[in-house]
Amino acid sequence: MQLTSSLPERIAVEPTSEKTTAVVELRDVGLCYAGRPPVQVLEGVNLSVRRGSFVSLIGPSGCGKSTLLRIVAGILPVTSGSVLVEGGSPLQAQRAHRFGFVFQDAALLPWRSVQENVELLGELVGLTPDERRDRSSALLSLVGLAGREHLRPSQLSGGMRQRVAIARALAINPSILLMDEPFSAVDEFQRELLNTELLRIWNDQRNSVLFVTHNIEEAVYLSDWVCVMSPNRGRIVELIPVELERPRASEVRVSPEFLALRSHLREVLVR
Amino acid sequence: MKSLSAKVTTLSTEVTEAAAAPSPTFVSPRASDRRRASTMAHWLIPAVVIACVIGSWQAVVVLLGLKSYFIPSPALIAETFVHNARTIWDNAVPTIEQAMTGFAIGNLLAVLLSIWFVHARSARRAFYPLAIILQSIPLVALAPIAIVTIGTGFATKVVMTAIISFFPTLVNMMRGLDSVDPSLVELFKSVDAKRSAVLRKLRWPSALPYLFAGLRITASASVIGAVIVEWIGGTQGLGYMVINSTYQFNTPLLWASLVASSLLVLAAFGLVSVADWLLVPWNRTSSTVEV
Repeated sequence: MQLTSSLPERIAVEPTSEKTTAVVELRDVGLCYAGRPPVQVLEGVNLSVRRGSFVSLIGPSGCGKSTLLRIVAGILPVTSGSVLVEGGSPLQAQRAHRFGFVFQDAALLPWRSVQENVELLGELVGLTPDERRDRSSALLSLVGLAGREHLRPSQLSGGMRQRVAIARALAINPSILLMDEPFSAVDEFQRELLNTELLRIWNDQRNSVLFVTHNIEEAVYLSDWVCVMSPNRGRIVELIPVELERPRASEVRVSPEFLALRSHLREVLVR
Repeated sequence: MKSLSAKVTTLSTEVTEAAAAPSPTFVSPRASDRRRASTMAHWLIPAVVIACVIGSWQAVVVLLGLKSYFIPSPALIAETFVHNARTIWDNAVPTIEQAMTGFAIGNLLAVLLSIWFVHARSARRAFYPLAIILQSIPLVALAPIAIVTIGTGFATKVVMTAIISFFPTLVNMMRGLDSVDPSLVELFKSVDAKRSAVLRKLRWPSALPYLFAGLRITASASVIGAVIVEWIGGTQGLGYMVINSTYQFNTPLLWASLVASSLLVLAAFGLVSVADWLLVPWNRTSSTVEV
């Protein structure tokens, strides 16, 4: 199941060398925890993410979608198969600061202000204070939090915290944004708003995104590709292209194409 | 309490965001009223209870005509305290000195050791159980041993107060350094952050509220420990005053030195609480004491 083969041309931002086309390349990836009996978390996962594309991983709880995200980030090892990130190992990609990670809970440092939180990764990777400040103020206006730089996380709503987390992830200009159910803790209205915002931000930054969710509508609305995973040994059961035009206004959610994709996905997931 | 107030803040900020009001930290008047009322109750009720206890104590002593060498009235204790203020202060100074020295040494060791334990799993597995076992030895049993082996000088007293200060902080710091959000550990890992950076920017600040919980316990424990050591073998200090006035049947002075020790404990506790409030501003809502 290779997705690069039939990828629409508009997604290929940099269709030059082979190295730059696939940002993430998973070949026959498996993860098995030793034990009696051994637990097969993932098996035979093949996926390649083209540069600049938005790919969602969707599936019921326990299908290994969050685990897959951590494998790409080099936080978890694989027991079989290979993982390539920008042509190298995930560890090399970590060292080159290619990853931006957004979690389900915003996971902000409560002792730091909004701005200091956004500057955290810059400190870790050795950006100068000037670079950090420029980057954080640009990103905070991008995520709509200009003027709130000096608030503490405890003074923000759940949705605002998640915006800070997105800004923080983007602060080191990563090529791959890994998002692990980032909007599952906010309410339905906030979620739609944040979806629209995320697309706007992504349109501005043009990172590749791997987005884990269990919300069908969200997956369809955001993605170029929706990757459906099954809880049975953690496999990819279907890879669905979403050929809705970009930029996508939120009205697209009621278009016939959108609804058709949504009901198709629902069928696949319930099956 | 903490989660409740956090929820209140979240709710109210969401309201502001929706209304696009300029102030992001809007708190509804009803909530602030409730908070003020609960603060009043927080201070007023215990104060009334304490006043009642002292009042009835005074009444019982006066009405039953109890002898002062048996049980002195609060008024007599207060009078004795003021009368002997100079002596009490002269004896409080060595107690304060040894409590503070032991407090500093014990806590410093505990903090360093907890950092080592968190980074070296094998060291933790080897030494942590030993630390827990040592903690179970009661101080009153340990003090005579220390006096026999090290003598009755300042060193013994400092060693004893250091031991008392050591364990609560060690246990709290271990918990604190381990208490970091797993997502944040992954975030640091995703950029290949150094362990020293994880310690400095993540584990240490996360552990600060726990450290202060430990410090609050050991601040009072070190004073109590110092008093006990002086009581067992000393020639000065509040503990010595306690034992000396007992021998002399000077019960009002015994009670006055007891009050002085208690004030010292409260002062130590208060100082640490103030430092906590100043240095850990993000954790101000949880003023609960962990024992």
